[in-house]
Order: sequence, then C-alpha cells, then structure tokens
Amino acid sequence: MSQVNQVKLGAKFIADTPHRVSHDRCLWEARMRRDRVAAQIPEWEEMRRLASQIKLHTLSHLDRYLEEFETRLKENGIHVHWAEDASEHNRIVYEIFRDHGVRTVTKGKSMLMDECGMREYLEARGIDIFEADLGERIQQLDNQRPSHIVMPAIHKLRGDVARLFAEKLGSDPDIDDPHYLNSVMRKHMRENYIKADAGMCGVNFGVAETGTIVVATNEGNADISANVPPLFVASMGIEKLIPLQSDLPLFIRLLSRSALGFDITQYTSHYTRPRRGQEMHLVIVDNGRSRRLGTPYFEVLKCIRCGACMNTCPVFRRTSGISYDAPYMGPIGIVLQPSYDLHRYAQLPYSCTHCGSCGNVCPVRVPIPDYVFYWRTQIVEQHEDRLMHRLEENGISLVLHSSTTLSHAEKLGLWALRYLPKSLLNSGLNPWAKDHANPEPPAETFRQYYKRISKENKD
Amino acid sequence: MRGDFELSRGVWCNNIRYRFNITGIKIYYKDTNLFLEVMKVGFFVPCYVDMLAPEAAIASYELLRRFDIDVHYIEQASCCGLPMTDMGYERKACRLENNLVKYFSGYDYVVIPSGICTDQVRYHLDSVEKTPEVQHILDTTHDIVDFLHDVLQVKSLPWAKFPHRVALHNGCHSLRFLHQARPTELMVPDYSKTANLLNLVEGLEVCYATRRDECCGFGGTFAIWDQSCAGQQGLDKVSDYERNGLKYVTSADFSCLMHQQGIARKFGIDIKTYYIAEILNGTAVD
Amino acid sequence: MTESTTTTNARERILSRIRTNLPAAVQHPDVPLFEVGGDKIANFITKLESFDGKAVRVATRGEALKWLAENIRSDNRTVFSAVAGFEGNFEINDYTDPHSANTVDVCVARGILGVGETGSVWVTEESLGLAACALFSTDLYLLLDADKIYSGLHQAYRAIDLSTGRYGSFFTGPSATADIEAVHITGAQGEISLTVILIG
Repeated sequence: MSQVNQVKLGAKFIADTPHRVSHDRCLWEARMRRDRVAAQIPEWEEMRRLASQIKLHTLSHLDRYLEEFETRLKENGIHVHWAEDASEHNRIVYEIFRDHGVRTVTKGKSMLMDECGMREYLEARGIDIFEADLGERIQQLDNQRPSHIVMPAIHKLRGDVARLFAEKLGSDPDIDDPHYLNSVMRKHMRENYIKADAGMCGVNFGVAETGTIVVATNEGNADISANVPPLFVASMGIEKLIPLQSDLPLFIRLLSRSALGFDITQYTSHYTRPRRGQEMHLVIVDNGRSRRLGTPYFEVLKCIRCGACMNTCPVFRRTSGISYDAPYMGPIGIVLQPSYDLHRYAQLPYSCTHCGSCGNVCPVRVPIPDYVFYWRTQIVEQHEDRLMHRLEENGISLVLHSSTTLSHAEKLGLWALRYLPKSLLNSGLNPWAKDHANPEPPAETFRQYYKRISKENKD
Repeated sequence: MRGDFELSRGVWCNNIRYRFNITGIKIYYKDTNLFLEVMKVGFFVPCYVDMLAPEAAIASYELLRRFDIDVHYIEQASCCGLPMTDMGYERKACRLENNLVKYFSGYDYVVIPSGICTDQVRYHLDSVEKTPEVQHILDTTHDIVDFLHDVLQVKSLPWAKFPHRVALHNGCHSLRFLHQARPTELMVPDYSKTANLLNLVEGLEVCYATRRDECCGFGGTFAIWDQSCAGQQGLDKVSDYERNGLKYVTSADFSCLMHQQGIARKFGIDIKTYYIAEILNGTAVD
Repeated sequence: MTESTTTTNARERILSRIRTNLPAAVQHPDVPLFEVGGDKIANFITKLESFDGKAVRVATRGEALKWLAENIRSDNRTVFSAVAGFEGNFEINDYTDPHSANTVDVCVARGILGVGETGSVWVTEESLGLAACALFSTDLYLLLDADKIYSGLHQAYRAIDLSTGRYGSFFTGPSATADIEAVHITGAQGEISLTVILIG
C-alpha cells in the first residue's frame, strides 16, 4: 500500500476555507467546553492520575483480568469469542450472523469494528449494516471513513449532508437545517430498527469484576440496537478492561467531559446479561494489542477513545481527520497507526508541531508527545524515511556539528538572504517562503558582536 | 542534615554562593569554612538566534551582565541538536549532544535565550549518558526566563520601560515542557513566570490572543515539513492579535516570533515582535 | 477445524502473548469517594435542565400519579406504563417482541436513583418494564424518589450492583446529537423529551 501523505491531503482541506473554519471552530469550542467543565471539578488532575494508574494496573495484570472477565461473562450467559486479528474478528461475527440467518443489522459506533474493516466484509457477504449513529451513517452513505472518533462527520458542512441525504435518502435537497436532517435520519432509522435481525455496538469499558460492558452514547442508537433485536453482538479490544465496578465512576466522569465538554453522555449503559429472549455475544479482539503491550509505547493501550487530543490538536483542527487516511486519526492516531503498518503510516508522526497540548488534555495521560519522538526515531532507524527525506535536514546536520563549520554556514545563509534575488528566495526552492516573508538579515551576528565588544573591552 | 539544596554545591544568596565545610561532606574547592564566589554563568546562543536574531542574544547578554554575574559566552557550541532530534535523527545528533555537554561544563549555570532549545538540552539529549555530572549540567541549564525568575529571583527591572499593551505568546516548549506558565488545559493554580517578569516593566500591560496558548505552527522543523498547516496556524495567530488590537508581541521563544512576524509581513498585518529579553533589558524600541 | 477450537486457540495465543509482554506491575490505587458540593436535589434539577430534561416536583406518589393523569393524554397516542397505578394502552408480556414497541408514543417508568452531579437517572430493564418502550417513545416520563438522589457518580455507583442486573443505564436528558456542524439537537434516535417527576 502506498504511503499516506497527510501533508498533501491536509493542504486540500486547509485550502477549503468554509470547511476548515467550521471544523476548527466546532472542535475548538469542544475544547473550551472541556476546559470549563473540568475547571469545575477540584480533583480533575487527581482523577487523571488515578485513571491512568488504574489503566496501568489493569494492563500489568491483563491476563488475569481477562480471565476473570470471561468467567463472569459466561456465568451471565453471554457467549464469548476471542479473535487474534481483524480477519478472525470479521469471520466470527459473520458466522454468528450466518447461523442465525441475519440479513439486517443496526449498529452503534465502534472504532474497533472500523479498525477491522468489518462493515465492508459483512456487506460483501450479503448482510445489510446500518450505521445508527448520525455522523457514522453520514460517513457510511458518503463511502468515507469517520473523520473523528466521537464526531465522525464533523468535517462536513450542513449543505454536504443535505445533498447526501437528498441523493441517498430522498430528502429535500434545499433544506439544510440540521434539525430537519436529523429528523430525516430518525425516520430512516426507525424503518431499519423495525426490520433489524441483530444489533451491534462497540464497548467503552469492560468491568472484570462483574462481567459488564459499558457503552456511552448520546443518540440512543446503541441502546436501541442492543435492546430491540433478538441477537446482540458487541466487540471489544482487550485493553478496554477495568478491574472494579468502583473504578467506573472515575472513567465515566472523565470520558464525556474530555470528549465534548459535557458532564455525561445521554445514555451511559451497562449490559451484564442478555435481555429475556435475547442471545448476546461478545468478541474480544487482540489485533496487535498484546504485542504493543511489550513495547516502549504500551501506554497507548490506556486510551479510552474520547477524542480530546483531536479537539485540541492545532494540526488536526485545520486538516481534518480525513487527511490521516487511517482508522485512528489525530494525535492518538499518529502514534497508533505506525504500529499497524510502519511503512504506510511513516509520515504521520511528522504531522505534529510538538505543542504538547494533547498530553495535557488526555484523561488517562497517554504520553503522546513522547511517542511522537519515539516513532520518528523508529522511522529513521528502519529507513522508512526514504520517501520523505528532506534535503535541508541533512544540510542542517552537516553544517551545524561544529562551530567552525557553523560560521561558514552562517555566512552562507546570511549571504543568501542578502544577495540572492528575491524571486529565487520566494520560489518553491525555499519552502520557508510560501507563507513567510523572509527574515531580514541582521547586520551582525551575536558571534561577531561578541568578538567586537571583547576586542573593544581589551582595547 | 539535608536541606533542599545540595550541600556540595552550597547555597546562593544575593548572587553569592556560600559553601559550608561540614565534616563528612566532600568539598571541591578551598578548605576554608566560608568563602565567597561570583556566580559563573555560561551563555549559549543557539544557531538560529545567532544567525537570525542577534539582537535577542545581545539583549539577553546585556541583561545578564546587569546582575553582577560573571557571564561567559560559550563560543564552541552552536546547535542543541533539535532539528535532528525533531526529525528522528537521534544518531546524527549524538556527536553534537556529547560536545554540547562538554562545552557546558565548568559553569554554575548555563543560560540559553530560547525556550525550545532549553527544552531540547534539558530533556532530549537522549544519546548522552546521564552520569551524575552530566545530569548536574542539564539540571543547571535554564532558559533565560527561568533563570531570571527562579535562580536570580528578579524583583525589579528599573531600567525597563515599555508603555504598551503587549501580547504575550508563551511558546509551546516554554509553556508545556519548561512549565513557565500554566497551560490552559491543566486545572492547576494559575501562574506565569513570563507575565511576572513582564509586569516588572514600567507601563507594560500583559495581554493575550483569544486563543491564549494555541500553537502558532512553528514547531521546530514542522514549519518546513508542512508549510500549509504551519502557515495557516501562524495566520490564525496573527489575525487573533489583530482582532484584539494587539500590535506588540513578545515571547520567550524567538522561533515563534520569527514565524509570526514573517507571516504577518507577508499578509500585511501590522505587528511588531520582541524577544522577551529585549523588553526586560529595556532595549526594545517601538 | 471447528469454530470453537480456533477461538480457543486464539484465546490461548492471546493470553500467552500478554503474559510474555506484561509491563512492570503497577498497584491499583485507592480511589477516594470524591464528594460533589451543594444541594443534591438542586444540582440534579439544574443539570437535568442543562441536558434539556424537565423536572416536576410533587410531594407524594399519589400526587405524581395525579400529575401523570392530568398531563398525559392518551387519545390517539400509544402509552406504555411500567408504573403501578397509572394505566397505559400498550400491554406487554414475557413474549412481547421489542420491535413492536416502535409504536409507543409515551412511556412512563420508574427511575431507581438519581445523580446530582450530572442530572442522570439510573434505570434498569426491570424499572423500565421493557427498555425498547422507553427508547422508542417520543415522550419519556420517569418517576424518581427525591431521597434517592446521590450527590455524585461515585456515590451513585456505590448504591448499584451491576453484577445482579441485565441492562441498566444512566439516562440524562432526552437523546441528542451534535454530529452536524456541532449543532446541538434534542431528540436524535431515542426519546425527544424526558420529564423526571421528583417525589418528595
């Protein structure tokens, strides 16, 4: 597969001012709301520390907690499946559906199912999957991946959705009021809920102590998908566990406040047993996670998929999640995706100004900024930089390694600034010139100044 | 007895170091009970400051000399290795980093007029073996803001006057890695070393962009790697100043200012940028 | 190879890789029961309203039933009630297909407890009668004893036992979405209005 060029894809979004401005504003407002609600909680920073420690504790005893979790699930009458990778996950889900004669599925949001490419797999085998989350459904209809973990279509404008719904759902193309568009979706989904043979959704937390899965949503789609059809299938990454019921409030308090700046999601739902007359399955998925556990960047496994890092990231807000062309995008995406495919995602860790804001908003303190450096070093050491190697970097390292050569480089640079024709300096040869006026060359460097005043002092 | 300071290093008071000879503690210098010594400070001017903003380095140097300390320009050192580390070329930065530590030894403190480079030296010299001596050098290396605020504990700047509303841009590295102020994300008591120092300047009113500490897009090598995004971030930042009627901008990171000034000029937005030491030294001219 | 053996093998392989790669052991921290200041009931109402929910205060259960009778019109509407003493016109039994709850317009049910910190009401499959009725309804009414409101989520979770139930959820205001340009819309896929009748 070809390498993802986030810079190029991002530049397209940046150039599209209406989309960029709206996207940036929506996410920045979410970040501001997050600041306001977090500031109301005196123990906010302590909660982040505790949540991080609970996750580290769980990860360092993950085998034990998974076994405990599985035992509880089975006692509670939930069918448990284990999948080593994406294809095994998809096959397991397909076989469950095949055995039950399932034709129509309504599905709540799941990053994991996106990661596995499950929808395409099942659709190719004749099963109709209806994304039930509004944003996710918009993206499904547009045949595009979600652009954000919790706001999948946030890079689109209302006009885009109006056109899409008109084309695919037969709504009025001239009405782009989000309330109207939502009512179109509500009506459309009601028709699908009525005929659904099975429901699916992802999992926010698995509680080992009680064998409970916890799903947090705003729209109610996951609850309908789970509570209406006779068959309910959920998928969960092995890292989603927490040990105790008493650990839950900490995470619930952090999740929605970090994600959208609201105190809680409208539906914070807990499933411990299938409802009467229902069959319930849980697929526990590895897909590279157990391998990540033994690496220096294993703390990515603490991530609770809130999207706060995306809302605060200055690059993400201006380039949109689409530009990352990957299941996980934004700050967490650029340190997660290379572990799936180093070559394909080798450029992503460079889509970062290293401002450090993501690490500060992360509710479980994933050290994202450190991992950005980690991946850059890995990419260089494994020669994955060959496609993107930039001349000036080598130039810099050559000329700066000693002060003698520095004075040469300095002279060269200053000479260039002073004497090269403006047209050349402002051309594509000098990347700096695209958005900057070139700095004015100084009359005297500090080095020269220091020599002069030292001499003057002596004289 | 063990206080907050290390006994072998003594204790500073009014820029004078007091060392105590206590039985059982190794003394490096003369075997007297108490002696005085002027603080010896190494002054490292990172490559881009030297080349592109000598006025920032000169102001910093002059400012340090006002405090009766012995300032030595570290001539041999040129680059902290940030461009290499930033791009992932840790191996290439290796020789440079080892040299840097060598040149930095023999001072009570090393002061750098650049937040981003100070962060690199203090926390990212990954290829240097962290012996206690090396660690001591790294721990006593400061950005000029931290040095003035925490080490010298400057309480007045009688020579500095700048009667303007000034936008304070805390560069990301100074802010989130050197902890010079509270980043808006963190729910901890508010503080700002940079604002504390600027408040000592007569007539100066510290102001902020609406998005007070959003990254302006410089990001070390990022501005070269992704010009579209860095350019957009910079334009958003300078437009923010413009909307707030802020014409003067200062920062402890010259790199951010260079980026913002370049973009402002390109788009015809009228701002003037000053490295913080220029204002604190009283040499900023409007 | 049958399906069950492959997944059993997957289980073993995953667990064994985890055991090989376990990071250094970290202790489980003691999590304090963080208190939320202020009046629990007042907080509850403020937060519920901030999520577009409505609160009605009555003194007794009898008054609550009276309020329901006066305010819920059942003409031309399908009403489901899980509350004894208030009759609806949609009946369920153990064999009711939840798909049929799609016709429910109004749902009246019990809340088990409330959370002052968030304005949430804890409901369960039992307290809702049939969860699908609440989720498919346009207008949802939840009866809640005011003395069952806890100050914060930590306190509320202490009063719940997840291990014994099936489905349990914190409902907080009616369903909502902000997926189009972050415009807040009340009434996404679930109920369009939520009224909590606080008793006592």
